[in-house]
Amino acid sequence: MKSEKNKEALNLIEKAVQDHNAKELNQGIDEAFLQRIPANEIRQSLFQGLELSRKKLFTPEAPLPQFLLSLEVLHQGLKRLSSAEGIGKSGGIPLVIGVVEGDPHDLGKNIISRIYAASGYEVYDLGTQVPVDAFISSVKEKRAKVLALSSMISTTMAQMPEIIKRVKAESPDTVIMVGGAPLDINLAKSFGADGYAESAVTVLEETEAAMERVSAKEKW
Amino acid sequence: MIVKPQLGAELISELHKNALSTLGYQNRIAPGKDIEKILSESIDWVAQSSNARGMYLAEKVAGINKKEIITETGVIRSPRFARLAGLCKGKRSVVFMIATIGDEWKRGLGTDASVLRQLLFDTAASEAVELVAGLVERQWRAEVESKGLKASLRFSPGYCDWDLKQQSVIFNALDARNIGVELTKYYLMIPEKTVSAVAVIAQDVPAPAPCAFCRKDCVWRKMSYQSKR
Repeated sequence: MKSEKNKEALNLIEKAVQDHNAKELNQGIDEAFLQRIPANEIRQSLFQGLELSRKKLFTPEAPLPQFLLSLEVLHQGLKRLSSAEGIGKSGGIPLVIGVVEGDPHDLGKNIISRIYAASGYEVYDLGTQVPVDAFISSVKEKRAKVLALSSMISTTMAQMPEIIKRVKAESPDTVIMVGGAPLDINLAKSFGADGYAESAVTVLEETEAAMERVSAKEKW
Repeated sequence: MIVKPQLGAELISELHKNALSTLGYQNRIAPGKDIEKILSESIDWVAQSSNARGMYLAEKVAGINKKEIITETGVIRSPRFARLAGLCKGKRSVVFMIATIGDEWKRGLGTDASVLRQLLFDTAASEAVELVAGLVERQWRAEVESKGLKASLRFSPGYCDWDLKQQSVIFNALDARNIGVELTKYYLMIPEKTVSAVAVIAQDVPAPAPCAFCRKDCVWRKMSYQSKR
């Protein structure tokens, strides 16, 4: 009986995130607390709901704003969970993200940053117009497992090979992802990056694949 | 010529329609009330706060070869656009234009805006500057047509084979500081929501865009394969 109620509460949480329904999310979390469901199981349902919403981006039925609504509902859930646990943000894979120097476009980077943060990464967002040295010192200081670089114009994108070269020299195990409007997979490879994500739809799969390749020392 | 276009009421509904389409809401998908609410707020704010300005200037073409168009103030290095200009009939000139909505729209975001809010405001601002560019274009096009001439479609640095660094050609022709626009060392226009372009003017313009000579199926394509045959 208890397990049935637990399942119902967790399903409600998952569906609430997927349907971006904050009211139902609160009901689900209230019920989950009442049933003393462990926080990690609640968190798992929150992420599962987001994942289902993100998968819809592969279809024409769910434009990006619908997914961003789910992302916001997920954050509300995580916030409630963290205050109930009496802790701040949980740790995860350290990831540094930023837009290269000279480029003020932050929207794409902000979306990707939120997706990483909602998916178990510990995100250090350096913002826009980040100088090369700031990327390198931040990667070292945070012991970043992943560095995500963004550029929205071809003239600022030209700095990426230099950033990648210097980060690889200082922190060879850091996985470097690149993205932005002027890039494609061939450019990313020629720059020496470990991975390329075309959009919010594929960024998690591409990052995981790049981490596996680097870990196995496989060629991209 | 400096112009101050107005984003009037009739353009607000166009802005709304264009923004929804850009965000991926086609006929069978509705955005829902949460998204509609923020989108309407962003459109109202962008329309009210926009400091829409534009400028344009026509210069005679001094020469055309396979790779470039030479004007009084600079050289447009785009083989495809040069080919388009080469096909034109009669005396040719190039119109340079810049349009902006300024940076005020960003204040509407407030602090700690969610990424959804950022996306909707950014989309509204991008669509607004496109409409403003359209209004500036309408003005110079009316002058062109009143002289019995024709003009190609707008062509911007970064399109097709025209290098983004060639923004400097447009900024050499126009003193954009007069409308509050600057070019950075990375050839990025500030304010961000600014559009720059050129077009060829002549007695006859057989190909409106370089897409006529291109078979690449890119998202920026302005002419179908059908129409160029």
